[in-house]
Amino acid sequence: MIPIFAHPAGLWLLLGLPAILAIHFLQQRSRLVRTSTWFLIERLAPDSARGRTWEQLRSSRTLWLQLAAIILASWVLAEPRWVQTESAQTVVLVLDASASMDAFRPAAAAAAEREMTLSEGLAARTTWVVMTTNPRQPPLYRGLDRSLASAAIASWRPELGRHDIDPALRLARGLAGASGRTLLITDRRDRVPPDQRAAGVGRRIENVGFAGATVTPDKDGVMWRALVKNHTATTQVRSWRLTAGLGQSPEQTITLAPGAIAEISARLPDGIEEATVVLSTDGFAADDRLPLVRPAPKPLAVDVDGTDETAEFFRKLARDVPGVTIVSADAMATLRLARASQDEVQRERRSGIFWPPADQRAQMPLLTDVVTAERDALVAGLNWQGWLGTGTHGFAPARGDTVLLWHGKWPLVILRAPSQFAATTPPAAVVAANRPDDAALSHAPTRKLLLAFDWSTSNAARLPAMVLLARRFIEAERDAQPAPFAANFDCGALVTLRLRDAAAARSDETRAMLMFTPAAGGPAETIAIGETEAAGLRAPRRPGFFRVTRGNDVLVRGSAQFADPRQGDFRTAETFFVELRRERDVAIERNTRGDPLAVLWLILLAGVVLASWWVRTAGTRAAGEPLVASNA
Amino acid sequence: MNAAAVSFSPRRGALAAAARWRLPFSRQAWRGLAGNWIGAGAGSSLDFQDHRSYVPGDDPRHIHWQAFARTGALTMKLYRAEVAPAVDLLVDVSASMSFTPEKQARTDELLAFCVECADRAGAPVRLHGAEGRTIYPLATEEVRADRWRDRLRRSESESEREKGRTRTNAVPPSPSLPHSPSLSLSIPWRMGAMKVLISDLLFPGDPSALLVPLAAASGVGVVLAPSLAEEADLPWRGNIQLADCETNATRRQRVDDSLASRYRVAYHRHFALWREACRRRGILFARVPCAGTLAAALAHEAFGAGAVEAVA
Repeated sequence: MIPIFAHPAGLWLLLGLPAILAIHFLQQRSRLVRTSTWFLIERLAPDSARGRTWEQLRSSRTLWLQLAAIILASWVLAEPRWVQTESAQTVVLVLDASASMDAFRPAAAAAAEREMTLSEGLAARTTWVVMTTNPRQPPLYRGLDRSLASAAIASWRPELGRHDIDPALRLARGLAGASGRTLLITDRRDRVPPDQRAAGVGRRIENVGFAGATVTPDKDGVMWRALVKNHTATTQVRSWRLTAGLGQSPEQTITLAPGAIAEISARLPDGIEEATVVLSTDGFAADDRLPLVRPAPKPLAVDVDGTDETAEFFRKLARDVPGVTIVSADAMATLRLARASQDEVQRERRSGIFWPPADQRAQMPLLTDVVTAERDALVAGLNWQGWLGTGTHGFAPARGDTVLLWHGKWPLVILRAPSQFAATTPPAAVVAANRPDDAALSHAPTRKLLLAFDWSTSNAARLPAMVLLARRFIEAERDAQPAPFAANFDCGALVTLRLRDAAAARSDETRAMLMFTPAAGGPAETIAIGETEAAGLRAPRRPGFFRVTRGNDVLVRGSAQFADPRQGDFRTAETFFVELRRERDVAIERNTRGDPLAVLWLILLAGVVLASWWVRTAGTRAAGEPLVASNA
Repeated sequence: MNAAAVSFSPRRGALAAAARWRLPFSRQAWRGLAGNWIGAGAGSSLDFQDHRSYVPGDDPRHIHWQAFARTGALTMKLYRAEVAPAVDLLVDVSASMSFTPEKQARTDELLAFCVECADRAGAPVRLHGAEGRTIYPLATEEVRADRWRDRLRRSESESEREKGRTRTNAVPPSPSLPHSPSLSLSIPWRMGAMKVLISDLLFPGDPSALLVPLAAASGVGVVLAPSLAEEADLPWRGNIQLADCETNATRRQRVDDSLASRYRVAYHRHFALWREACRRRGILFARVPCAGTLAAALAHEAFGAGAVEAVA
């Protein structure tokens, strides 16, 4: 059985073997000896090299004793140990799922192989666990077959942006247990906790990539704007072009100063639904391609009743919302914006924004109470400090209503919706991004926004917060429609998916499918979307185009754009290795037993050293005495 | 300088050795001046040698009167001559002879021993030092006074200054034979003398070149070679920067067991070659160890080979 070494650094002593051989190849430093029998020696060895220092290796007892001493010393220092037959360990390889690791996948695989080779002999039975720091991703492999673990690593693709790796590491340590080992494979040292073994496989890459993009329709078509960032400390020159189908635009050159961000923009050609902006390639390909789709929001028919000032305000506001069509009262509108009384609102079966008839009371004083907003996606982040009004009027909150805005103790804005939806709180990230469409994932079929104040005696029309509130509501209602749409998403962003028939999604025939075409090329991927996954559907993690279909219907057509420019900055990427001596020592101590002959080796080593010294000095003593006499 | 060095005297060791040993004067009949040794011709010793007829001029004291009484013819009674053999000493004064203090001391002792033996035999001594191809005449008085090395150093320095004017041989050192004493070229060996060579013989070349003149012109040739035990082996291992004690030339040499083993064989073969060459030419050859006293050192190989003989 091949032993393992508790102190493998001791094997460096084996370098002494070639050193000893080299020394013995070299002639010893010559001693000056006078002789009276020169002619005899000259006659016996006429071919002796005069001045040559490299001689053929001459076997001698000293040589063999010294070689044996080196081998014994390295053996003793390395402290060989034998694995116990009943020992077991779990080795957990934690792969950093950051997208930046995509540039170092071969190096990461090599580091994992090294770790597996090092760990393989530490116990008789090794369970391999390959996992990533992606908290949503199950382990890539868990089992006893090392080759399958290697295959899992080879097929792994890191796609996440910046994320917290601590949960994954805690899970890894839990899986490894006391006798196991964990290794984090990453590309940046600052991601490694202090008490974690880690292998850094990164290196500096002269990367220039896309840092974000917007695609906005205007009256002349669709304009796209993309930010290109130079992540390096030197000036970089790149070329870019727009490709769509089989055609492509002429190449253009862009020069970026160190750390600079530049904007490139163009109009999406008419008739082109999907296009890709391609930067000249560098070491990190994930941010070199920017997929774009012509945005097509969901259609929303809006009926705005009335011609008074308030109705004109809402008509104008609704008209500016993409996808909204102002229809007449006779047409089938999905959303109604109208002045209505409490009873009319009760009878209305459509969603909408409703405001009460004008307050007929004369000379109502302005309330000076503080306006307070509730925690809701519709009012999140809005500033109501400039509100002027005469207090609540027209509507009173009913059971199940949500008061979004209070004026003192009086309700100002009420959201009427089924209770299971009214309590929904959007993700904080969505709120911060001012994306009410994402926040209103679970919008009810009929939601009513009741403005319980007299519009004419308030400054609501001039208050930006009210404008935003109304627009958010309209957009949320638009996005809540079960209709197809096209949009550009960040990689991994939530995709609002409304299925007309949720029950049908359970059957295989009508199950929604996501088809992804990577922007960098490669085979398209198709993923089935389950009922539960539909609610939290996210855009692909890699840049590319995707479609969500069900049957023959295209529900969503979108692009996933590289969204985390921090992943493209490789200035701090480095290659390193953080070893925890204690972890390996504990594993060795637990799984192996020491060499029972260690004392014998020590004694033998001492004996060999003494014998070597004796043999070496015996010649010197024999030679030294007459030399002294002859030179005296 | 330590106390042992101060108290060391070659002559003292030589006298002690001379009390037990002497040069092999008894090996043959000598010719030369009157002395204490049986000569090759008729002389005035008490040892009867022969009879012959009287010729005018013969010493009438040696007429054999008893024979004249019996035969009426004048017959001369001849006795052996007693002569003092001439001794020629050549000592190697190259650097290898002073390789260690022990070796230098043994060389000095051997030289003093030979001079002492000659003095005791009443033999006239002629003494030379040889370094490479340079021969330096030495005075026996300096040897007796243990100052011959001082005189030798002065001679060497004078030689260096005068570019060989005082050298008996003006042949410059040969680059091809930098270590050879080249004693064969111009050593003034005398006819019928006892020729004694004191050298460690640590130089390459054919021994015949040196031994042929040593064995020629009758007389007795003796080679006394001080030997150092550590010269017989290569005690070092590894990478050695060898420096020749004679020329100070250096070379890098890796010495291992294999080379040391071959060296030992070559060393012994070298002296075996000298020993065999001396035997074929009737020259007495002995290696004299540098360890121990001279008297003890001569008791082994030198006595066994006849290079010295016991004092009666």
